[in-house]
Amino acid sequence: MLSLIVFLPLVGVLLCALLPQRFDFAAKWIALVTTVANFGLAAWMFIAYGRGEGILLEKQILWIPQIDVYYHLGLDGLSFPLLVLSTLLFVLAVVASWKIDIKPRLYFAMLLLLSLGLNGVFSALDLVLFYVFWEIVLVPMFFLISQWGGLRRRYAAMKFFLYTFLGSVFMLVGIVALHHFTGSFNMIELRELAPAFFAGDGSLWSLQWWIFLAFFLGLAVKVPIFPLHTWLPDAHVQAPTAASVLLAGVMLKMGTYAFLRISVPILPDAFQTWQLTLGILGVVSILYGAIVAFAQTDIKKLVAYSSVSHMGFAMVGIASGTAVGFNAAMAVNISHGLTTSMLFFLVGMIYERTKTLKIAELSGIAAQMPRFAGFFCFAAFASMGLPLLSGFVGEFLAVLAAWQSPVLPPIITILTGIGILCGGAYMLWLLQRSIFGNPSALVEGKKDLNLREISVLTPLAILVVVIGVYWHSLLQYTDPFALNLVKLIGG
Amino acid sequence: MHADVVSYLGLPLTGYWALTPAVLLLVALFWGLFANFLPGHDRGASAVGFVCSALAAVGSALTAPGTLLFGGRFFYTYDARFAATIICVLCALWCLWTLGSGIGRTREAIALAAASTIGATFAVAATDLIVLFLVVELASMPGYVLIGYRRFRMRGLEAALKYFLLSVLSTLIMLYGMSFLVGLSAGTTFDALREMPASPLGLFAFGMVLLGLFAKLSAAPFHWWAPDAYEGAEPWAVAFASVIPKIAITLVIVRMVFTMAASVPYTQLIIMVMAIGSLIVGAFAALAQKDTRRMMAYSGVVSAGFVLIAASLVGMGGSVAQEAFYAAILYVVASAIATMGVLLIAAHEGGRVSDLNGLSKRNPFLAGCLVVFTLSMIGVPPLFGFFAKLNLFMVAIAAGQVEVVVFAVIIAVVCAFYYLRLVRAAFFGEAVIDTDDDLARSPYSGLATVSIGALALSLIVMGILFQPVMNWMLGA
Repeated sequence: MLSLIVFLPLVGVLLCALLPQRFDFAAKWIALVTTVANFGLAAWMFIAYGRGEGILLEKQILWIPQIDVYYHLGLDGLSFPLLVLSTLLFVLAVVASWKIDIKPRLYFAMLLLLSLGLNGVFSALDLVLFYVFWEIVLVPMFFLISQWGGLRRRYAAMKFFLYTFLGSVFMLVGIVALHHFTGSFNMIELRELAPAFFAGDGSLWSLQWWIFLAFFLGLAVKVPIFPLHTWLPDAHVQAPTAASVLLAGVMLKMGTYAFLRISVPILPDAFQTWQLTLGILGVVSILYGAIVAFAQTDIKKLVAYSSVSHMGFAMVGIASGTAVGFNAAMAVNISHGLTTSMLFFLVGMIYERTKTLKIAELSGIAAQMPRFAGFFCFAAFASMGLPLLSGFVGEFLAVLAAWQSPVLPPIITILTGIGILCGGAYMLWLLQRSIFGNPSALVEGKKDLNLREISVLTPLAILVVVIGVYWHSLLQYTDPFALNLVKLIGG
Repeated sequence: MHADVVSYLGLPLTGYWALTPAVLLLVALFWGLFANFLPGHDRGASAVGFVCSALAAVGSALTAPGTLLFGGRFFYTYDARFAATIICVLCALWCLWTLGSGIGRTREAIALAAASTIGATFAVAATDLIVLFLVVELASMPGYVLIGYRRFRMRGLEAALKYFLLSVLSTLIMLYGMSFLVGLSAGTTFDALREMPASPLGLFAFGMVLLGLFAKLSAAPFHWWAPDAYEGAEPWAVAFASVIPKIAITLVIVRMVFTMAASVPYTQLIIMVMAIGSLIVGAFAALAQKDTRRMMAYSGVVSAGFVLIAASLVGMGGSVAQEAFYAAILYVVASAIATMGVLLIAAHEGGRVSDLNGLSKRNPFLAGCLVVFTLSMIGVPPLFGFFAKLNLFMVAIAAGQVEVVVFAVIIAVVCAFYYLRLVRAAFFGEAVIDTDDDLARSPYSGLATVSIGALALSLIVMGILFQPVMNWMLGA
């Protein structure tokens, strides 16, 4: 059943690829039907099985015996919400790309291929299979950025590909090394095999430390953690709207997901050695992202840097090594996926109308486009972590976790708290400059959001409120995983 | 196939029946030579070349493993069967491409290709120094002529001469080394070599043999002829001459190292140094290239580096030797398929990277194939190239060579950079209409597209079905 969810987009890819040119217009319908079916299936499975214990919907077949690779899929409280979020965002991304008229067949085929890769990343339980999907994701994103992106799209696409590829090949070395020492690629089995092999030695320069480093390089680029974030602003800004949304909404989650899935449980001793470093890098990402966001004159770049900042909260949560912290990381994953997607959708919508991303040229939207302004303010508030909206859940828990953590010093807690404040500041300043004031020449006379655009934003807004008001709706899935993880690292 | 059906058909091919593929290829060779008097002329020769090498591929695949010929001069192992089949398939696809292309006079090209393929299919099974020398020469010599196929172009002649002189030199060095080996082991067969006592002279002699083979494989520092030779040649000729012989030579190298590992200590160190050198030289030199043929020449240096890593592991002996042996074969096959694909596309579009500009608009299908080739060479899953690399890395780590793997991985990223330039040209480059007549684009034809498409498809299928491919090679 899970295989069906993962590979359903392939049907759409093939249909789009085989479509004759004169049926260009049908590509978006194929993509819509595929993604809706995919989301429907994932959501149905989530409702039916999401609360189960252990690994759900597991499927394991021997794929390549000589090198010990299995086709092994399964879900749990960590991956299931992400899978549902990912499939949902793809539906919305297709709707938001409705007006793509340059090579629509290739565009939607790439979008669906991306969806396949991401479904696979969140479902794979074999390290090689995981790596396969991890790399599959790169290819369609490379094309989405380079074919439908902004002016500097080629530069951004190359940078994106090379950066993430450089990171992930180190991860591959880590994967092969893990297999060499333990004889298994199975992510679940490795939770016992690897610690048993390393016998608790994760100190500096130890073998386990090096393997953690290999994974860290691969994952830190994806998260992204300062100083490996420099591909992100380029890629996010140059990418077309749907690709920016998916980059920020889902692809960044691959990094934190893999930390929680692989690095922490499989290399627990090295994780303890790394904890403080991760915490410091997380805080630096939070503050650096926020401060740089302050300085931006380009609205899309501002949102991109805010992602660096927000993912820092997830890293602080992970670094804390506590159940609260792991919950925080998972909550940030989901909530950032919702709020940043909203922001990128909105930025895309305003760009379609005004053809500018300069904040200075965008004043007075509220007077001209009240519905847009409403959604924008809502997304900005959710993003800055206002209580009763989803952003608050993760960021509050992250601060709490940093405080509770026996490893992280209090200064990290304080700086994380300041980070929340900074988030509020740059977002409010953005609102003041772009939404309010007198309408600028470019904004004057532009139409407000239409029904299609509102239908893209509404589901996200509803989820933001639901999670923000009733934390349990999300945490009931993530909490068992977090508690189990704490048990595994011996906390 | 069921066992009884197989035996009813007289299959698999045992004894002298194992020469069937060679006979079929001989038919293609002579048809090519006398195509002027035969129906169909050039197209006829290409068609016969395709049919014969396709049948030869079937024949190679059906050869009974374990067959010994000519008193043990040839030993058809499972891996030899695998490599010979791949060689014949690639030759068939290449002939199919010539049939569909607009390159005009193909008859001699087919004859030369058939001769080279005969040599290559023998070389993968040869277990005797004299025979080995003959078939390796047979595999590589037609390449000189193919490189200089357009004999009225000065660049082509220069290239052919360079290639010829270097090859002759390397052949002489190889022969020089072999003469010592024969003296030391008192025999010409691999069985005799295996028994050879270790001695400094033996190391020297074996080093000479390897040196000759490395030059043919274009491993650094004996690679300098390749970029010049390839750039002067027609891309379709390079597509053959830089691919088919290399598969055979890789097999010869790993087989010799495997045989002699015990009698020549330290060779694995020399090979590893050359492997590392090849990776560095190839990857960084390729970055600067503006000509697809030169780029692929350096990319060939990089593949030689990866193959030599495996060869070095073979030299270490022990339990990883056998696995490293297979890793080398898989790697060279993966890189051969992709290289041939890229160069055949370049044969349509022109030799410079900028000639690929706008390919995605002119021919989206070929652009898609180009993406598959480059991604496979970069090592992106689930393509064949990825699994070949992964397999190689796993063997290397099992042998304790973690530093080498980390280094190779970094090189793989550098390679990604220049391979992606091909993709970038094809998808984002502005098409320039070039009136230069020798770069004028030949019209696309269905058969040429089928041939390139089949190469791309094979990389996808062999990647996803890596398991059956490997099983078949191992005879498991």
